[in-house]
Amino acid sequence: MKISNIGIGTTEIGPDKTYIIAEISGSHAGSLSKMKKLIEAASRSGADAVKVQKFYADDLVVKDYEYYEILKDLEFNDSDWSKIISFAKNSKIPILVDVFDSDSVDFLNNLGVAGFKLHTTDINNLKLIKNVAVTGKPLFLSVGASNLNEIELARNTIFNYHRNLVLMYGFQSYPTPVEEAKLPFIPILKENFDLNIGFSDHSPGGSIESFSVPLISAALGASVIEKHITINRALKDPDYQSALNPDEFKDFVEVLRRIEQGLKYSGFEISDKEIDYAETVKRRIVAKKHINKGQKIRQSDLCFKRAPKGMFINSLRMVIGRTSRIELNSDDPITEEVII
Amino acid sequence: MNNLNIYGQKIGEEQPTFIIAEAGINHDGDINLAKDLVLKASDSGADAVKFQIFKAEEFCSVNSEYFNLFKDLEISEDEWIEIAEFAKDKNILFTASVFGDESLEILDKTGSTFYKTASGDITYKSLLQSLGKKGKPIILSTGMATIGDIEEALNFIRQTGNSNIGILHCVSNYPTDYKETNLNVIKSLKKLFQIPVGFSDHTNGTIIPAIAVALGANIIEKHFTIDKSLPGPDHNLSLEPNEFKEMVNNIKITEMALGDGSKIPTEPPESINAARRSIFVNRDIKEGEQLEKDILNVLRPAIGIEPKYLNFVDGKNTNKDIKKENPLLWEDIR
Repeated sequence: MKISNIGIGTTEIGPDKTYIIAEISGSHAGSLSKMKKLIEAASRSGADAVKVQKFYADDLVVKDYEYYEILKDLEFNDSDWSKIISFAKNSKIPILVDVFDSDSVDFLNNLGVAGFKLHTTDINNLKLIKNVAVTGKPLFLSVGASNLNEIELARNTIFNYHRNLVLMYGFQSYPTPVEEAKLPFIPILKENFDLNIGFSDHSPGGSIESFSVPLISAALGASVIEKHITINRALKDPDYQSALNPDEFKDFVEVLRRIEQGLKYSGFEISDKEIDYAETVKRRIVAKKHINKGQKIRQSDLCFKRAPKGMFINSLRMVIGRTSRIELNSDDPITEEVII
Repeated sequence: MNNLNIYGQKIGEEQPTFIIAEAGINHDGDINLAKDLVLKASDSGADAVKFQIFKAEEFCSVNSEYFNLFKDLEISEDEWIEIAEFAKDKNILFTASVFGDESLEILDKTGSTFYKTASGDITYKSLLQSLGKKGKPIILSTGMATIGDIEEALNFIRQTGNSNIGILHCVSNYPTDYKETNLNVIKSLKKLFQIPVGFSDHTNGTIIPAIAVALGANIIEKHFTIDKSLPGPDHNLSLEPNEFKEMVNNIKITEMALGDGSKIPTEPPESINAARRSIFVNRDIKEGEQLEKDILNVLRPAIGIEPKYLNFVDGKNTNKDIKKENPLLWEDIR
């Protein structure tokens, strides 16, 4: 199966190493200084990229939409956006942006963002999808809560321009309970679309699931994991429900980096550590009682115990009927050297 | 997956199937017959032709009833070198399974690019290690073997510093009954060992190798003769050149037909539209008339409103006259 890797900076997205996105979303609460603090925190956490959302509330939602006011407060002007993008660059972390309008696509493309994300909001918005695709930039497409039909049409639109596409599975339910995760869909999606798959985790921030669910997604083949980050959940900034605090995010990255070492498999072979373990625990052939030098060794002279030296039981055929080269006492190991 | 590389030809995932014509002892001890096998194997589309090189003493007791049979099948070192040169000339890789150090020495003098071991030698540690030390790719047949046997053989070879190994699933019954072929083993072995896996086929006919390729086999080996009616013991279970060609062709077709598993239609839009349906009117309709289901049919081709909107259209008024048997278009309704 061909799995195309997409290059963002010098990182490859693919099965070898999980690409971790720290999603700021609304956590900045409309404050430029908080936004910068979050970008810094994301960079320090070891995440591969940070992601922000750029929208105009009046273009995105109707006035009586329940979150209109919140969204309105989260807007930044173009001059702030220029600062945000260059701040991320200075913080040495690639920045990805969720875009919701075509003007922002051009604006951000000129500022040199690392890639774009399209929110589930726009899975059917083929015109915007096309405008993002024509930039040729790596594209993360949210496919949470979407039909196969919707995913296919969006994919086809993007494929007219490029294939640097990751499908991001998962959805936000403030927060999303684990019963809703349907994680086995990840490898199925991968097989059916022959693309890299990411997982947008929205498990409750601070819960055990907030670590274990995305780790399991990696085990099932997700090559991108996206998680919300917030300054402090206690502040209850927008989207805090499924967000990790900066120290937790750092821990998460560390745990994932450790655990993904355990997801590698390159064909069955016993490792050195396993050999050490086997040497310690597997029973070895030792003398059951005193054996004279030159005595023919019988099965009844032997027993099997854990010991620092001696042949394993599966070498018994090499021992029985041989002659002892030296005098042996009870519990002395039977090695190739002591038999003639 | 650790691909094999035999003389520049890669064997493994995303690579064409490596096809070996197993000529074995079908040369009947005759260098001219051996050369003819090389020529015909090359013409039949095999990537490699494989013989068995042996000194009867290497594997057969002089007291055995078969000793003289095998002794008569021996070909001399000089003749093997000549056969291998002939193969090079005919653009086909030459190799042989060997049965001891003496025959290995002969094979090496032919300049063989890779080794192939017989199923019966999977437990023959010193031979496997002699081959391993040469540093050339090794293809290991695993008939009669457990995964533990295979593990042990791989370790014997790897201990010599050689990890350039592929394995062939194989059932050592001649011919192999379809019921005992267990082709799914190809998938299991590949997952387990993460090295190229092939199938050495001893079933009758040419269908099973193609199916093995569909299940992921990277290598196919099949017995080959120029004439099944020849007197030697293996001729009648081998494929003749025309059959071998058919097998190779089946494999090529299978490779083309497998695809990437992603369901994306390749049919042109015109033929999709010709086969699918849309809403048509079944009588003349006046402008402003209200549409009802009994005057609408869902017919080929798909040039009008899609069938899923039938309920939506039901009860709408038209904004122009529509002739009987015309499709209903979105611009036709108010």
